Amino acid sequence: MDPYIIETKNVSRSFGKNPAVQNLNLRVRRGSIYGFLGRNGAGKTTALKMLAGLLWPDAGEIRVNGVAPAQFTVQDRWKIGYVSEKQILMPGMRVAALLQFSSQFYPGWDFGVCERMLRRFKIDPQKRIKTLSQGTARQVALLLALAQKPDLLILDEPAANLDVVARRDFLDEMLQLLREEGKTALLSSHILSDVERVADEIGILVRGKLKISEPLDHLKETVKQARFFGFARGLDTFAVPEAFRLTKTRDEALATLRIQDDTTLPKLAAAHQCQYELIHLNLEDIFVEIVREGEE
Amino acid sequence: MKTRTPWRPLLRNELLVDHIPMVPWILGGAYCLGNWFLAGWAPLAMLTNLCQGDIAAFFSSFGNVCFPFLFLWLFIVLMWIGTKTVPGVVPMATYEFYFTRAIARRSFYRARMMVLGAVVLGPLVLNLFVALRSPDLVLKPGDSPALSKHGEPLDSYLRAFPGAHPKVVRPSLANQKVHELVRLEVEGLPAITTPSLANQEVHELVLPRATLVYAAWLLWGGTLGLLAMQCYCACMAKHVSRRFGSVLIFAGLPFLPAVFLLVFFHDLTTALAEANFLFFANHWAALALAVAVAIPGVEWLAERRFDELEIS
Repeated sequence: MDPYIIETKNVSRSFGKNPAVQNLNLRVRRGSIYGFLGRNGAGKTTALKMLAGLLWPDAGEIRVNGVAPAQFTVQDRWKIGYVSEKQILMPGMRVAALLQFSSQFYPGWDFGVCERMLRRFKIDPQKRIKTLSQGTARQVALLLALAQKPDLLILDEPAANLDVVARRDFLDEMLQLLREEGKTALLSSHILSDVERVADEIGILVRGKLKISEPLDHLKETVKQARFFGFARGLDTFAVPEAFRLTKTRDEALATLRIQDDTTLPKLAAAHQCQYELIHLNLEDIFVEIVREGEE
Repeated sequence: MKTRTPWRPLLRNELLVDHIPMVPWILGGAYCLGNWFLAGWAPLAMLTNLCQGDIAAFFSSFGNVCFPFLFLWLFIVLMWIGTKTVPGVVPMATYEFYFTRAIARRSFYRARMMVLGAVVLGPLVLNLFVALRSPDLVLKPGDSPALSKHGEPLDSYLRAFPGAHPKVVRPSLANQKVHELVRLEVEGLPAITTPSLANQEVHELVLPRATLVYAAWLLWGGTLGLLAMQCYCACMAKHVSRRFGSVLIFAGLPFLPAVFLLVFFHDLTTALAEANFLFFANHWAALALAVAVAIPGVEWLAERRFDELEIS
C-alpha cells in the first residue's frame, strides 16, 4: 500500500488571472493528522476542494487514495469524509432524518459514533437543521463526516463557530477515531493551538505555494528565533541569508531561522562578533514568522 | 459489495419527503396534485368545451396565445431545471454537501431530472390518456388561420387525417339564437334575435383520432421544450456564476429571440401554431422517434456536463 494517502505533483489552479495554488507538492502520510495552515486567501480552501473533487486543477496531478479526484467512484467516496468551510445542510430536515439520509450511502456507517456524538454535543436529533445555531449545525456536519468512518478526513476550518468546549470535544472524538483505526486527517484551521494539539505534520501555504511541509516536532525543534546583541562592529552589515525573517533595531537583531545543527548560531555570532540568545517558538510564532517571510 | 448509489433516498430527497413537516407536505402535495390534474385537463378542455371540438376555431381563437404561453412555460421549466442543476443559480454550498457524499453525480442528476420530468410532463401524459376517450375533433375550414392566411388547400388536414369525413350538422334554433345574440353584441348592434336560419345546414369535417394527435402534439412539444431547456442548462451551467447579472443573462438569453418573434411576427405566430400542429400530424411517427432518440442523448450530455461541474 502506498505510504501516502494524498500525493500532489506540481498542482496549480488559478481563478482568472489570480493564481490560487501554485506548484503544490503535498504528501500526506497514512495515519497522520496533517495541519494545513495559511493566511486567509493563501489557497488552502482551493487546495482542499481540489483534493475533495470539487475543483479541478489547471495543471499537475492529484492522487487521493491512489485515485485522481476526477475519477472518484462511489466506493472511493466512502473512504473520504469532507467538511467544508461553509457547509450548508438541508435546512428543513431533522437531524435524525439527515443522519438516516446520509447513512444510506455508506455501508460502513457507524450509528454508535452518531449516538455518542449527539450525546456529547447535546444535540436533539428531532430538531430541524434550520433551528440549530451555526456552531451546532457545524457539529452535525462533523458528525456526518466521522460517522461514515472514512480513511481520510478533509476538514476545512472544522472548528469555526464552535465554542472552546465543543471544539475540544470534537478534537477528542476525532483523535479517538483516528488513533483507534489508523485513519488520516487533513485539516486546515486558523486556531493554531488546536492544530498544535493534534497534528503530526504541518504544511504552511504562503500565497499559493507550500513553504513548509514536515513533522510538527521537527519543525518546532529546528525553527527557532535568535536574538543577536552586543555587536562589536555595529549591525549594519549583519545578515542571516537562511532566515525566514530578520528584524533589526538600533543595537540588536531578531532572526527566525532553521537551525541545522548546534554550530549554526555560534558560527554566526562569531562571524559578526556578537552574542546571541535562543528563543523557542510555539507553532503560532513559527507560523507568523514564516508567512511574514520577506517582510522587514 | 453494492457500489451503486441507492435511488430511494435520492428520490425521497427530491420529493422533499423529510424536508417539510408531514401535514404541510401532505397539504402542499394535494394542492400541487390538484393543479397538476387541472393542468393535464386544461388543454383538452379548451379545445372540446370552449371551441366545441373545432380545431380550426381553437387555433383561430388561441393561436396567438400559444407562443407567449409556450415561452412562459419554458421560462418556468428553465428556472426550475436551473435551480436543480445549475450551481450558480442557488448557493454553491448546497451542492458541496451532495458532491462530497458517496453519491454518484450522474445518479443524483438523473434522480432530479426524473422527478422534474414527471412533474413537468405528467399532465401532458395524463392529457394523452384523457384524449383516448374524448370525442373526435371537427373542422370548419373557414375558421382556420393557416388555411385562410396562406390559402392552403384543405388537403393539409385531409393529408394529416386520412380518415376525415364530412358531416352535415343542422344547428338547433336555440343555439343559433345564442350565436346571433353574441355576434350582434360583439359588433355593437342591438341584440335582436333573428330566427331565420333554422333550416340552414353547416358542413363540418370530422377528424378521427385528431384529439389523440392533438394531445400527442402537446406532449411532443413539451418534451422537446424540456429537452431544449435541459440541454441549455447543461451547456451553460459552468458559465453561470452567483452574480445576479449572470443569472439574469442565463434566464433571459433563450427568450430574447422569442420576444422579438412575438412582437414583430405576431400574425405569423398565430398561423405557426396550426401549421406546426399539421406538420406534427403528418409526421408524428418520425418526430416522436426523433424525440425518443434525443432523450437518452440529451441525458447523457447533461449528466456528463454535471459530472464535470466545479463548486468554487
